[in-house]
Amino acid sequence: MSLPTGTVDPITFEILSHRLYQIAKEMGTTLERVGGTVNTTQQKDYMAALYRADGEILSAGESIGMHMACGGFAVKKILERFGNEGLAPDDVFLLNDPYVAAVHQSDLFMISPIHYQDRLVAWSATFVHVMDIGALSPGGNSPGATEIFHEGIRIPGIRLIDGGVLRKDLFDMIINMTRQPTMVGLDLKCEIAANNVAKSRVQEMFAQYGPELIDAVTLKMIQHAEDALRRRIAEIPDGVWKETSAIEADESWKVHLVLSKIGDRLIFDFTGSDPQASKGINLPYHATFGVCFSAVLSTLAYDLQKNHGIFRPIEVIAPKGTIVNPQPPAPVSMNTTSGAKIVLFAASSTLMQALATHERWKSEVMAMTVGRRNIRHAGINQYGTYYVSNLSQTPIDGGGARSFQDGVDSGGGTKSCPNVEWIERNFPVLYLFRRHARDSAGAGKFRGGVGAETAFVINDAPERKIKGVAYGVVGLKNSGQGVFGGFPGAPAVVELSRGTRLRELIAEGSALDRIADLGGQMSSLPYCNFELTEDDVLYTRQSSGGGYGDPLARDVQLVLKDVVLGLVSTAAAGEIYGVVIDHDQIDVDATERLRSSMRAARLGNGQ
Amino acid sequence: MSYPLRENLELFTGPEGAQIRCAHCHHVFCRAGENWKQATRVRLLPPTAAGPLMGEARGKYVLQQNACPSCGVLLDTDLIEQKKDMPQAKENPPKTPEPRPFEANSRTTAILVLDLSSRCEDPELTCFALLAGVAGFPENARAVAVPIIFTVSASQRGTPMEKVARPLQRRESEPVIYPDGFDKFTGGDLQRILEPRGIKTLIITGSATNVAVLYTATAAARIHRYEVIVPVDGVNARTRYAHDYSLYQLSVLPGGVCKRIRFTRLGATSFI
Repeated sequence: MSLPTGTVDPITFEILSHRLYQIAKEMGTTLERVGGTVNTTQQKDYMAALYRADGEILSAGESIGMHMACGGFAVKKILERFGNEGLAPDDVFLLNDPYVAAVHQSDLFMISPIHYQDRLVAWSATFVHVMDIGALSPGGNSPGATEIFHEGIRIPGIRLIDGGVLRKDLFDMIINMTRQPTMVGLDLKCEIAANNVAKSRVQEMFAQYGPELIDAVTLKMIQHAEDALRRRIAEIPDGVWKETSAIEADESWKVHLVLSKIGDRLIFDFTGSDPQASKGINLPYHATFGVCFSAVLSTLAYDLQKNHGIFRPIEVIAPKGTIVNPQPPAPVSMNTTSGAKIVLFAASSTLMQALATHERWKSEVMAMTVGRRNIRHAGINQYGTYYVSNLSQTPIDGGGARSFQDGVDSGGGTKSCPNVEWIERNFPVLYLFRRHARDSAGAGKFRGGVGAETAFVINDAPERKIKGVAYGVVGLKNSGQGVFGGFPGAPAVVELSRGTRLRELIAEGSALDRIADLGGQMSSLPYCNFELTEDDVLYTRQSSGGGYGDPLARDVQLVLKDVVLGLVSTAAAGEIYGVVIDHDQIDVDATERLRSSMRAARLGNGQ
Repeated sequence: MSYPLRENLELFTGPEGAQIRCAHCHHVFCRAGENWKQATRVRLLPPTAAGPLMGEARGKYVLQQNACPSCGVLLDTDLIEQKKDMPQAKENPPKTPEPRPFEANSRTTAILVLDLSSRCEDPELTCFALLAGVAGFPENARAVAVPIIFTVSASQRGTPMEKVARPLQRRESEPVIYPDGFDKFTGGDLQRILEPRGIKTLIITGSATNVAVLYTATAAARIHRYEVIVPVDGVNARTRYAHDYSLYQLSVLPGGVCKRIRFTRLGATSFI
């Protein structure tokens, strides 16, 4: 059917492979422009990719690695369920069952076969994270769920569009099982639109170049990525690296990982990880695989085409019945921001340890972040309408330090964060601040990125209250872990202060500087639902990046710059970096003496 | 030739084979394949040593730092769970005595090998790590007829673990005694072997630094008036802290006793 891959000339290969990449990107743009909720329109919490006829990933634009892998599993499940013969050219399928191929129910996959001259030639697939799915808690992430049956609609794969005709009865049934039928409907329709764009563009390509050439190009794209990745893996010395990561709520759960690198293969072995939880942090096997795939993408393959070639050198071992391969009815609704994060940390950390052993790759090493805390909110907004949304704060954490540069400040995440004014205009909340959290970054020769801290209150809320859901990675070790001597970043927290003197402060015209100035009673929120009422203040701090290397090796001028920018306090500059700063000036002699005494203290001399 | 293992740590191949060393000052930590962290200077600090926002972790976590014991460069920092038996985070391990080369008089010196029985052949046990180093040590001494005396814990007598660890290659003529005490002079067998030979100097090796070595060396110097030599790499303990503190303790024993105790390394000991 296809031409031998060797017959594709390099220029045609470049043009067609990039065209396929652009189609996937255009699918993403369509999602953003047609979508309804902030997840899709601003946060880029979506996936848009093309797959070969057999379900192998073909081109994934800039989508989230875990989801593009799961999208491939979803396409294969649709093929299994409906069979090649059961597919009509303009069918579109819907799937969100975490025990089939999705990660959690809020992520709705829309999957569309692409036919050319009545033959199945490719697939397109998208997911968006809808703002509600009819679970226990508004927004889907349900701390109270102990079984998947508490976590909303579960669709193993249905034909939502039959030969080009939307099955409106099904569509209405699905959206009416959510708290936000209009917005969920919009998000579903943006997925249909993106799949239509993909179908149209891919069919144009086939008409222009013919199926034989395109088939040869797509095979070569995958082979090229696989060969390049295998070469890179083979360069690294064989070895074994270990990591453990944990969530620590009222219970704690650990993931243990051993990464073995043998020849040109990577084997991620999660044997020894904790049994599945009765809290929705569990990560189904295909998602665990997807996270490992994502970790490899961002360490060894960030410049390669994102396709099935990256899959092939990876093997993932995850024993059944554990938090990395749960069995029904274990709940999963909070997993993308909890189980997936600790798996990603372990996978990335072991890969970084491996990279450090090779001269060429060691400069790629960076400190990793375990996770962060998230908030959903719901209620009657200032326009008298029920709403569900999230604070979209996950992108404003601090990035890990690199071997040559500091981590990214308040922007280390992979998504985008809406501005404060947009949030205040749409929802009944008022921000007291959103800013860099001083002294939060992990210290090092290169420091981690500073995470952001926010404080907000309800404002113009007709019911004088809204509901909230706290999730993410709970625990005091949920921030950036330092590498090679670098310090950890400050933990991500969610704290609720009740009965504060906020109104008094506002009446005085005082700006809030420290949360402690608010008074009232503060409590840390683990996985829970809560209410935010008048005089309550919700404070969040996102995780900060871990540091790289010895803080005493940090350039004193960089420490001064951080102090001047307000990212590091003068006290921390002295106590952690050994740099004495007075009135924005470095005291060189005092700094030399202090650093010398700090090194001596490490040797047990002095102090 | 050297290969990077991570920031400030490298694998170095030299005349003594593959070793792991500090890339900053070239201090050698251990042979390749051994745990380099055990040869670092370890400090436990309150979590707030990493910044004022780490306060909530106080009492639950401590900041563990591993530094090069020669130049002090920081090699690893980790937030670890605070355990009940962990030394207080504010405490630093004491300064250990500096090992110096030692030249032994073969006519008046004996070597004690404490409690390296066949149980130490289990790689999971701390004493296993000593076998390779201590096994090569007696060869030079045997060449000049220095007596070597082995001890095995009395509790192991009559069990499969009553024998000296095989890698040490004890000779039939070398005595094994089974003292019932941390101080191996307990019961008198050791003195009965040493006294007739006119021994004045004891080189003490074995495990653990904080038990058999500490109590035997103290009794040897304080009660029996021997000159005691401790090769710091010929003894070990379950934790670096316990090892370091015991050496420190021997170096500060009052009443002039500490002056009869000196410290060296296995490779820095010669016999004349």
